[in-house]
Amino acid sequence: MVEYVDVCKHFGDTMVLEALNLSVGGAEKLVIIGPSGSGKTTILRLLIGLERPTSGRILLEGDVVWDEPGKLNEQRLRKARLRLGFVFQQFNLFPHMTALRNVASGLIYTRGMNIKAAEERAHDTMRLVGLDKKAGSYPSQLSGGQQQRVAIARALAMDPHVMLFDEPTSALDPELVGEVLQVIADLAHRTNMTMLLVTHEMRFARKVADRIAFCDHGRIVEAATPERILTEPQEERTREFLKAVLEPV
Amino acid sequence: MHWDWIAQVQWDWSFVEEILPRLLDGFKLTVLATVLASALSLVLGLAIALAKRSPRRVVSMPIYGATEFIRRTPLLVQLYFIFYVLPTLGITLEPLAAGVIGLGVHYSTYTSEIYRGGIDSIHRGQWDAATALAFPRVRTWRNVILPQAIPRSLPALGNTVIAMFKETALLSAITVQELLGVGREIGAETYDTLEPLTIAAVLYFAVSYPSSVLVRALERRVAHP
Repeated sequence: MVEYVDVCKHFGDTMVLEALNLSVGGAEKLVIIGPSGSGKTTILRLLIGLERPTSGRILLEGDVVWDEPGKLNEQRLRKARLRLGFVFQQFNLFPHMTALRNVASGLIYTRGMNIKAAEERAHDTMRLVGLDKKAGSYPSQLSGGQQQRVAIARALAMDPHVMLFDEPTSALDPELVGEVLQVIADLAHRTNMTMLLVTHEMRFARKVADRIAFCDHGRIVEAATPERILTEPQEERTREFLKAVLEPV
Repeated sequence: MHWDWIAQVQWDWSFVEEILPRLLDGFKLTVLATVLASALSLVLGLAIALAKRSPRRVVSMPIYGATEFIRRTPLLVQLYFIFYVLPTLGITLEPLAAGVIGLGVHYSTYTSEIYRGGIDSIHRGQWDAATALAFPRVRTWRNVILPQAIPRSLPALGNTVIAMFKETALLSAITVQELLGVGREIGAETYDTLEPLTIAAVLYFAVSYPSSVLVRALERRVAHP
């Protein structure tokens, strides 16, 4: 479904991804964990074309998204974006639009649907995340958890083949994290969508992931089923990271 | 206290009555010039701000060059140039047209910077979200960026319009019969500049001051929605 082949990414002098290789299968739920700065977010951002790789190839459903020598191809990126949904850590809702209009925005502005039909579809999607009663609210009137759920609905409304979640709960107050994770877990269990999630929430990762990939210093150090990686990590670095995360004190 | 000079001030109210209609006619032209030049600078300024962001150097470089030149030369020089020099190159404009174009183009270099500030203040995440949703560029600008950037720019744009209102006084240098022009004309005809120029000053103030209060109120509203 998604392939990263020898992907490298420099930001100036900093090497963020180094010969990264990763394969994600159809309907797979892959969770990427790792320390800050390890390049996890960049992996997601490259796929949807918010960053450009320095070198390497990225493929989505067999179609090239990025190819050597990393030249910008708007057509290929557009094609990819139509099949991807992205949920940002900072939600990035449009503050001047109601929740409903936010969710409908892709249908209206990208797909060219007429507003009434789009808003009906959007309303249904909002029901999926439990926020149909808040359709007329503006983002500033919603809690962080509600805003993120609207953001999830906004991405879902476009019927993506692959959903990308970039630390969806890291910017939330602790008591709001649960409602968002619940929505994501529901999605994971009920749909055939491929999902790539970057998160620090280990218990959630264990519940939802088909595989967990540990990313460190720009490489996938190891990737395995949750049970395998959490109980019998093969690599030293994985062990160290998990130790620090699972038993902080 | 040396207040003796006050006794020398000879304010003549009947003279005021005589010249007020002429001054108000001039004031009407001041307002007209302000409205036209503001409209020009508000629209042209946005076009310049967008053009400056063009990745095509052929588009952005000449714009940068032209706006820098216009901003670093006095408006008065530009007005003289448009009104007195352009005719020698075959382009003759009416005084008001020359004044409106000169004033509008000059200030569009400032409004473009205001728009740029407003656009740059939009969080990167808004662009990211629009990109991720595959919005066409025009839609990103029309429906995401500008609806947020322009309200933020309004207070500074409002102050610019007020500044332009006062700068219309310069149009008197190219024979436009606006408020200052009429005031000086009366002064030259009657050798009495006290009443005409004082009234002119009062009229400028009477519009400027309440306008700036309104803009400050707008500023507060934009900062705390």
